[in-house]
Amino acid sequence: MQREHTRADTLPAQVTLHVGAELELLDRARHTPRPTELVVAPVELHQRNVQRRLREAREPKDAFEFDDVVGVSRSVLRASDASTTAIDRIDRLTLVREILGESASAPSVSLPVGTGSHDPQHVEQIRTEVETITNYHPERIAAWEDAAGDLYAPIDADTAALLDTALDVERALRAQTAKAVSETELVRRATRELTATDGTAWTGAYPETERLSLMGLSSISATVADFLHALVAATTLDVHVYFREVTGEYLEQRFPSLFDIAEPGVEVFE
Amino acid sequence: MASTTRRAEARSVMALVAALRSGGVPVRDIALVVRDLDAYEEPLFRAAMQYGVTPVFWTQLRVTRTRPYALVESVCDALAGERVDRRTLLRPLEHRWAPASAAGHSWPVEPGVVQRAIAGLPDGARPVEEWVEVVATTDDVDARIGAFVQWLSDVPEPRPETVASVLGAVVEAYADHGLPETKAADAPALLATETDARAVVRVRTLVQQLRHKFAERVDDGSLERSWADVAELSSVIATQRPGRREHSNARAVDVLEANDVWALDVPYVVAVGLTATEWPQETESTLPPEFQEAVLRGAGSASTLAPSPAWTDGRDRDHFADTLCAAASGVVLTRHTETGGGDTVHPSPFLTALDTDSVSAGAMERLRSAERALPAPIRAMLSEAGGETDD
Repeated sequence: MQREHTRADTLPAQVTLHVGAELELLDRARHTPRPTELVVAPVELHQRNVQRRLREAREPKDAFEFDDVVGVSRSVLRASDASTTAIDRIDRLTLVREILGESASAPSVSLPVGTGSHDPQHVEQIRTEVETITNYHPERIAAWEDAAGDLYAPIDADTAALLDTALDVERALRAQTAKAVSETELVRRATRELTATDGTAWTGAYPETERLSLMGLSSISATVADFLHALVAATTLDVHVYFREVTGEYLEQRFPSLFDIAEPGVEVFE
Repeated sequence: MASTTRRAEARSVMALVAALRSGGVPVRDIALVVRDLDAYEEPLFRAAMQYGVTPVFWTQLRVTRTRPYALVESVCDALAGERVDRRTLLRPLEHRWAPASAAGHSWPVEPGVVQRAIAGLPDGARPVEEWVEVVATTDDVDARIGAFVQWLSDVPEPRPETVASVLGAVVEAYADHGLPETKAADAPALLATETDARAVVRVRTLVQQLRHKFAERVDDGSLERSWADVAELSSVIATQRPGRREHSNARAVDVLEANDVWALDVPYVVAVGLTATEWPQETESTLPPEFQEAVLRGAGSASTLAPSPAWTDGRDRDHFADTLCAAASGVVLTRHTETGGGDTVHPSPFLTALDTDSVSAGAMERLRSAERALPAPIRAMLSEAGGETDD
């Protein structure tokens, strides 16, 4: 299929996309006094699988440091002495339940119609899906509204309503707690910190790191895309993204346009 | 390899593992992969016992089903009510309660002694303080039971510090006195011991989380200081599925979920459950499919919205590709053809793209029989792999 226009050139030169091929990492194994490559994999067992491959190949692990995006974000925030505390899912569900309860008498959250609309788990899922797709960035919120408007009735209104629900719940959660509403919010805070400090938060946290390899992905959230976007804008780090075999070809095409927004990490709530 | 039901498929799989081992393949060179362990853990476990195979399931420990958790829960329950009956009172002893300062081999109280004590105590619910006297004045009740009831009666009202110190001490005493009992009764592969030991670690963490959460809830007024609320809160914490997978055991065959196979390299992979209902499975989303499609297409400004391939079968196809990719020497794909109720189960669409040899029904029967005969296509796979590794 012919794409309407290619945006490949919107991706900064520091970012390289790969499909499969993540185990080229084995060739970069060597003895170093401190790690120079940050290997970011969202699933802990994936980090262990890579470590197992290094062991089986009798290669040293020294050059690599393993973590997930939230862990990396926490390090960045710590380097700026910013708070890294976030409420967890248990607390969040309790708060969502309270919010829905209060909203029943004095509506503060617009709820979608239909089954499960008052179930905290369902409402929390709406919130996380909207967050994954938009990272609450104003331009993506506008894009959601546009895309919803292009659908036929009544799905157009339903889709717009889901967005409102998520934004209402997110606002209400923020009003209830001084901590970050989720670990995803920590990633966004770290994203803004990278921009605000012009990268010194990064070099404070990872002075020796020359390369970041993100791997094991079957999808990429707007949150992670924005983090990488701010990271390459503020530093000279080489970033490599390894997609998986099957979805890789699609994501490789689709990924660059996620960088088509200004000020990554900014939220619609401000 | 096609079998009739899921259970029959599980037996075929474990018969295959047993036959491969008899054929000289080390157990670490085999991995079993399923789309979702929930449906397969139990049938695979039963079949493994039948064929003398030790499986390790790489899944989150269901901590609520473990003995250390049951112990903590039963202590909270015994403390929770104004009055408790004799069973609730002594249940912690059934779960191997021991005092913090216990020495030697006198703890935990033997199950028979606990049962006799329950039978010997009067019916009816009483406050714990009253039980202290009843136990002291009942004939033939073991002194250790009196000591336990006295301990219960001395437990203070729950405050965050006391929750952590009381329950923490219970868990540590279990590690010292309960865990060795499991080990003594365990099979040589020590599977139950490993599970129990992992559970101790997890329940320790849980007690810490409990302390913090309880403090917050009491502060914000959403919980009262009662042991019933502590029990409730601990069950909420324990039933969250953490994103962490558990440890392996070098003498057992690994059973993994497909998402976890990524980047692994194992000579022989057996992919289990290649049916239309297992591979692929839809990921639940709250969004209308029409909107998902628009985001996936990414035309115009929608191109800035992050798409999820899990809305289609993309994620499962990745996992299946990873499964095939993990196998260095050979892959065996298995499926079942009917439900327990006899309805037809269709093969996975993923199979159509592959060029596979099928194993006949007769060969499947010989594999599952005492003969444990490896089917011809699998023998061929072994000798090919052997030819490569012999040099």
